[in-house]
Amino acid sequence: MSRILIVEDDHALTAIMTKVLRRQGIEAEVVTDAGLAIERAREVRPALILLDLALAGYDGQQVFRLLRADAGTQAIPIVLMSGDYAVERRAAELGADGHLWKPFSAERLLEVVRRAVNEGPDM
Amino acid sequence: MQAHQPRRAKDLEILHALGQELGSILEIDELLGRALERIMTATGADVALVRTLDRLTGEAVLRASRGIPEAYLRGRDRLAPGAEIPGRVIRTREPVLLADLRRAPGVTTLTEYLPRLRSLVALPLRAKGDVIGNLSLGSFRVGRFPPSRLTFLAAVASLLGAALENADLYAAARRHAAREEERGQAMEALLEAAKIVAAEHDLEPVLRRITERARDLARARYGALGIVGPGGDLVRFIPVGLTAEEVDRIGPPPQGSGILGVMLLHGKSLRLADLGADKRSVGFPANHPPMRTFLGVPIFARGRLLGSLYLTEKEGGVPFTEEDERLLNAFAAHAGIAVENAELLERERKTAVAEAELNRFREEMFASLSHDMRTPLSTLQMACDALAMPGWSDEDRDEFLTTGRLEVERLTRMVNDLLDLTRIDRGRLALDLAPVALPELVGTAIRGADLKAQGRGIGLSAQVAPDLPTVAADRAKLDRVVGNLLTNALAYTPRGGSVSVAVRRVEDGRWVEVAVADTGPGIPAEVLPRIFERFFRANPVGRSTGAGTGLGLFICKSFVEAHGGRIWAESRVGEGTTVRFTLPVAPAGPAGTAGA
Repeated sequence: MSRILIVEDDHALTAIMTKVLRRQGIEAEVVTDAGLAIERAREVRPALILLDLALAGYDGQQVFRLLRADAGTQAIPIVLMSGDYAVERRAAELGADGHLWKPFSAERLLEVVRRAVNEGPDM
Repeated sequence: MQAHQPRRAKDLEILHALGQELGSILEIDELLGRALERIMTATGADVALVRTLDRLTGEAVLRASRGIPEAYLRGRDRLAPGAEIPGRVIRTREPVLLADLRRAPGVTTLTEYLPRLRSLVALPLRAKGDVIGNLSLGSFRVGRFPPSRLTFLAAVASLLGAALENADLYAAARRHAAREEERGQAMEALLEAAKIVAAEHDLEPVLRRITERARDLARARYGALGIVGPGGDLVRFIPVGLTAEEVDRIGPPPQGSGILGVMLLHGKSLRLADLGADKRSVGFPANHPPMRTFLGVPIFARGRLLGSLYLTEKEGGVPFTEEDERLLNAFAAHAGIAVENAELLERERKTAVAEAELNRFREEMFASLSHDMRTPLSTLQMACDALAMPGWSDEDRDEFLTTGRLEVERLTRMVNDLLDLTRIDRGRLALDLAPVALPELVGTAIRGADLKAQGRGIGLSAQVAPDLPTVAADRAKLDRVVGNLLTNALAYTPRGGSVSVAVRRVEDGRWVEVAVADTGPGIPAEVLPRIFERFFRANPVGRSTGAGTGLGLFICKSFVEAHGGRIWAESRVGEGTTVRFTLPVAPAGPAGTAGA
């Protein structure tokens, strides 16, 4: 069973995402705090990190850079989530491994997660 | 008879030559000098004198003379109408012939100064049928001018008269042309002033150029323009004609006192020959250059007195003229227009800035809200997608349905926020006032939040004072306020904490106060006053629900204040926050416009 980390502070959303993912054999752990996220990522070494760019009180892009800079986490693929329509471009610019533009369907969520998990870290 | 013929021919020759010469000169001074010499030669006179008639006063004005002692001429440049021989000649239009002055003593005082004078002839000078002056010729020989010569002499006088008239006309035309040119220049200057005002946006250079132009045209040494503010204080002072150092040393004049004060008080122009000597003057400060002649005009714009424009020390030490005053008034009018324009522009700019600000807010607001709606939309989407999948437990299905409903509620709130914000911005917050029983309203709100509180392990309670009066309020808006405060309180309170709502009467019973308290992390003192600002988002520690729109408290404030109430927060870091708002017990403010 793959383990992924979801960094997102909206409880209602993550509750459903977790249920849907579990059904597909993907275990999701939710972290609402960016600082904790980096720590947890180091500990757990998830197969994927779903990172919300609009995390309250944090600059999502900064968190992304920190994850990539950290030796313990830089190999983990990261998919960016955002309501901002520019998320695709941003993901490409930053070199993320995918993007999810809110609102996204369960189908799309599973597609993106599976691809990132199966393909592993980029190049 | 035969003897007269050569004489006659000679006379004609002389007349012809004289006529030619006089006809070719237009400059009066040149004319009179030469004319008299020619005439004296032609007539054998030893002295000659020309006077012209001043049409306004009837006086005979001395224009030129030859051979006449200065002593006689002194004080005699203007003879009263009809006085002495010239006066008589002009009035009667008939010549006076005196063959031997010894036989007519006292007839002319000229003999006192010229005892050698023996004969005299005074002729009227004619032009176009009118008598325009007189020509007097005198000789040391008796009978120099016999009656037989009268015809000839009259012809000479006619020629001179015509020539003089032409020369006078020419001089008048030249003066007129000069005035016209001056006026033309003045017009051009005014047009220039108008163009300056229209083209330049910066007020100071415009006013400076107007002042300089006015000074140049009126030929003054110094000029200044002052604009006063609504309190009568000087807001602008532009001196010209002084160096920067001089200006610094002297400083601007007080506008409220002295001559300038008089002008400002009465809004009238002032022309003075000696500024310092005028009893209304308050004197000059030290280092001030002397200023005597003064011309000042008020500057008006649409009936409002803005200040004054003044010039001092006209070239040549002469006083300023009425023409100068007219000119300066015209310039002052332009200055007034310039000031008005600048004020209008400034108002427009401020409005434009304010509008730009508002637009920016709106853009931010729309961007922010539409962005924030995407998360609940995501959740809603997920819930629907999940429900479409088979094989969930009943519990799971219930959860998805509840989640879906809650997210719809959330989205609805956001959309309502958006709408209210638009209304607040446009000042179109309408209150639908009706008597509201606060205990009931609070009770409903508590029940609505109960489930959420339980789910999060937070204790929720209410303390409502007995016998509370009803308030006139917009029920829907009040619901939003209380609901918003409760949501915030719950969001900020950690598990095991508590949220309470209290309602009581305050301040001699004239107000009702609602207080929502939590045991959350609290808000730092520096941040506390700002939480009601538009778009303000706190960075709370331990907050577990998604980011809000930042508009909630701003909207609460707008709603409460629209009712005539007040809202504020008290907090201590580490202990919790209490948000209080008051509503008047007496009927609330007029329904209609908001006091946002």
